[in-house]
Amino acid sequence: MEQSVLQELAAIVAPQPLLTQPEELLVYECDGHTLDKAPPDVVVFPTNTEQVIAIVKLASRHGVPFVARGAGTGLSGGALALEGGIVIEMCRMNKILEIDYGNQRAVVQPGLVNLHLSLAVADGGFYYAPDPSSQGSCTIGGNVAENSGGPHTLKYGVTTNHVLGLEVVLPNGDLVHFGGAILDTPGYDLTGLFVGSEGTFGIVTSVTVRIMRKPQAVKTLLAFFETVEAASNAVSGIISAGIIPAALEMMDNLTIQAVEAAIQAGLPLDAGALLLIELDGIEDGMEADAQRISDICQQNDCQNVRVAQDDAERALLWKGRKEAFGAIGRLTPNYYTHDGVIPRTRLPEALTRLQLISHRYGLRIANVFHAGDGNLHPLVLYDERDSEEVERVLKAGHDILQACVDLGGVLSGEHGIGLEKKNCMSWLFSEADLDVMRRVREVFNPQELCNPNKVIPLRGRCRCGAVTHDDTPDHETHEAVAAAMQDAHVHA
Amino acid sequence: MSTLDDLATSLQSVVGDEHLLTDAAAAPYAVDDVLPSLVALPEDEAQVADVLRLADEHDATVFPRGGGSHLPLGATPERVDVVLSVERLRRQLAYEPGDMTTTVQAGMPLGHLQGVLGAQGQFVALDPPATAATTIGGVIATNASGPRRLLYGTARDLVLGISVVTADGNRTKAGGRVVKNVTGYDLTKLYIGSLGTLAVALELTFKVHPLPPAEATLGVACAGQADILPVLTAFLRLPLRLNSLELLNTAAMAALQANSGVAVPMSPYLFLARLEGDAAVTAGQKERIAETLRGLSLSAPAVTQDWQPEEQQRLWSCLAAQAFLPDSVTAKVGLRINDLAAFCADIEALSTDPPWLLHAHAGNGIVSVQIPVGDGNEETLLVQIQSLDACVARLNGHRVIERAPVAVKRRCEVWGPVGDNFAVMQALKASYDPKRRLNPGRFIGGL
Ligand SMILES: Cc1cc2nc3c(=O)[nH]c(=O)nc-3n(C[C@H](O)[C@H](O)[C@H](O)COP(=O)(O)OP(=O)(O)OC[C@H]3O[C@@H](n4cnc5c(N)ncnc54)[C@H](O)[C@@H]3O)c2cc1C
Repeated sequence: MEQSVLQELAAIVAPQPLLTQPEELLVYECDGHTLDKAPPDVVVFPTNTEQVIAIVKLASRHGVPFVARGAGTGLSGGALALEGGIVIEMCRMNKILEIDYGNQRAVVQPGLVNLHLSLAVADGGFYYAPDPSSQGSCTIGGNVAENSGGPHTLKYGVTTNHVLGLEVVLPNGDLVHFGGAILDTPGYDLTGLFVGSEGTFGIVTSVTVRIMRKPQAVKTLLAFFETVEAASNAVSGIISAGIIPAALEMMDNLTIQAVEAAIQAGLPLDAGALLLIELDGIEDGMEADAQRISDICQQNDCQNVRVAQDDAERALLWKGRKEAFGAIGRLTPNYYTHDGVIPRTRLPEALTRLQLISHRYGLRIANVFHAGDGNLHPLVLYDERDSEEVERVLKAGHDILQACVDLGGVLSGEHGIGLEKKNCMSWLFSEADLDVMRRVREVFNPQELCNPNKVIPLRGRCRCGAVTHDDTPDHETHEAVAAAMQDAHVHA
Repeated sequence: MSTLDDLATSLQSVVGDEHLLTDAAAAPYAVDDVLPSLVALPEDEAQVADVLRLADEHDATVFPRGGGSHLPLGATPERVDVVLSVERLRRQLAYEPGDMTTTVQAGMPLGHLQGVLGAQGQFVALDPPATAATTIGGVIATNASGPRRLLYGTARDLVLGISVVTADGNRTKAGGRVVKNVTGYDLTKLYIGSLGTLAVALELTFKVHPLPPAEATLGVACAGQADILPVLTAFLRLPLRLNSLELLNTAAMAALQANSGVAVPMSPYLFLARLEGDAAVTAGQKERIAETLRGLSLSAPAVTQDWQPEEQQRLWSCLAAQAFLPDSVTAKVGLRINDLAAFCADIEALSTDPPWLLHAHAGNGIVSVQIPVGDGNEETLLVQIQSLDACVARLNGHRVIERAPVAVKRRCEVWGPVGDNFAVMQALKASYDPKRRLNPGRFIGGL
């Protein structure tokens, strides 16, 4: 990149420094998808919207590619600077601008950590519903780009259902506003179109979200089964009975073993599968629903149902779920995180296919996933030093996605397509379908400088480094939330 | 032979004689009193594509249509060459109750779909004002919604995937048939509410919900505008399974009483709250509401009202039907939830005669304002719309004129002003429909 461009860039964000040294850029070579790497030329840390506009205009004028980055926890290579250029790191724009309890809204900057928003509004009796397992580190801006989900999105929906308005710097540097605090803005739903665009339509500089009242009551159950088939049948049974739990998560035996080793929650090591089921809402009728769920589990050969007795036990069970990826990391040098979706009724078949794939390639596959909405996360265990094994892992990954598509499902439920799955898009979409998507992207990003070329052949590899977090906020988190709240306008 | 005659001949060979209407037969398909030259009723996807392709070749404009119940939404067109009605595409293509998803053709009537799903104890959680003719495609194109949006959201929360035919006759799809999906750009959101200006919807996949075990409706009458905010706040703070919370002013209540034949406690404002759960659960919730209301300091105690189950049904269906009130200007206003009371006060202060009907989805900040035409002429109606706009602007809200006499529509900005994002909308329209064939001029900013 030209020295003059770097100088202009430095002037925009001064006195904030730029990162340009190879060793400084190492961290930015990849995100949570670590198999593909590409260093940017420079990393810049804007602190306000005006700086973002100036950076984008500069890049556009000089034809330099740029990509926004939040916490870099993405699992599909979204934040990778594939063609070099500028990484616009948004983490300094992490303020909460406004909290309006009466109107159930908050306005935040994109670099705010997801969990910090829920913590900030907790005293007001509110929370922000989308809760990716990475919520202790991932940012709201990253969530908007990926349309992230989480365990509790079964009942309450994913990011797109909670984002009402956006301030966006378009790839030409124009500042525009989509939607807002008020619902049903006349015109095309540009907010809805933007959410999930994986950083290719522009840079988000402010996000208006819906915050929700915390439920009156919560009940968390754990049901153990001898086999994953029995557990999947119980999932179908619960859904068919017309009960929509807040969360309905499954872990298989391998995951149970890993989690138990990590957190000692007293999980039975011989169980073939467990379901973590959470009900929330009003207290009235909850006991009855819990009983019905328990009965359905019993009818499906459940070994045992355990009900969390207090908040501490509930927190422990969730800790096990949210840190399951990390726990698996203790069993193996590397693992490859998949993210596919199937129609819920095909769950037993899907799990059987996964077992076959595991046998065929001689690889261990751990399953920990959002069973309620059919969102699978098979984790393929391997050792990257064994190149022959890596080959098998890639083939297994291909077969896993193929199985999802065969069963009427899709390529990704929450992690995105990014760099990782581009090649598979043609399994689901015709050339005409993809052309429409390309043309829509051209409307926003005609120069293709904003996160370019994420539409490239899949190399079929993905694994992620585990990001762990503790559910009880530590001192540092408290400080961060307090700092984020510093200038927030709070309305009752 | 004129181009349109030529087009008529070609279209006839595609859809068949009896499915190409002209002259008097085309009259019921008028768009805002503008008679279409041709009405094509294709029976399948291939015919839809052919109609679009032929219209394109003949430089003809195309106005997609479902059941026509929400057709008044949109600016009045200059000229209507072809109305393309999807009313014959009315099949359910897939339904797996265990997956809680269904795929239907765009011309399927909403009521028909709810019947099929209801037999399995499920429903699509969309309850817009509808007639027997209202189609799924029309509901999605207009992003129509109803009281249940409080709990279930709107089309953007319920549509999982969509197949469309673009103006060039190509079929494309977005989304899928599973409940969670980030595979590719979310074009589904773009099509919802786009009023047929980008493409013609062919098939839609919905997320369905279990029907609630039972519902109960409670009326809460308020003595004045000053009591609206405290009562609304109480409702939104209480732990309830509340699927609807509507607010009516006296004029809307009077209309509801007259139309339903159900006695409504006449008062300045009335909340209608609909709770979900079996009888024991809703009884407990009602008790909690009553107790909370007693604890509020209001200008006068709020009066609660119960109705028989059959009366409750009638109230809700008549309330929905009021959207189709003839001889009125109907505006949809969007506000911050907490500004609803101030808006009511502003409208009261106008002391309009005859009084306007206000009906709000109170928990969402969406208000339907109906201005009776009475013997008012065009000029007085335009002045009244200006007064309304001033109230909306004061609260930084937005408004759309959903229904109005055509003469009025021609002279007011139906969609209100455009924002700083309008260039993006124009570019999207240009990308999808460069020759402006589909519903030209009807959408925001004349798109
Ligand atoms: C252990 C672990 C668990 C996870 N669990 C879940 C889960 O339960 N559910 C789930 O959905 N995901 C999960 N993820 C994936 C990941 O955390 C999410 O995709 C998250 O939203 C990424 O946020 P981020 O801030 O890290 O974004 P990054 O990885 O930094 O970026 C992701 C994308 O967002 C774009 N972007 C970032 N900021 C902006 C901005 N301001 N404007 C425009 N584009 C921007 C980037 O360009 C990139 O394309 C998990 C990841 C890990 C490592």
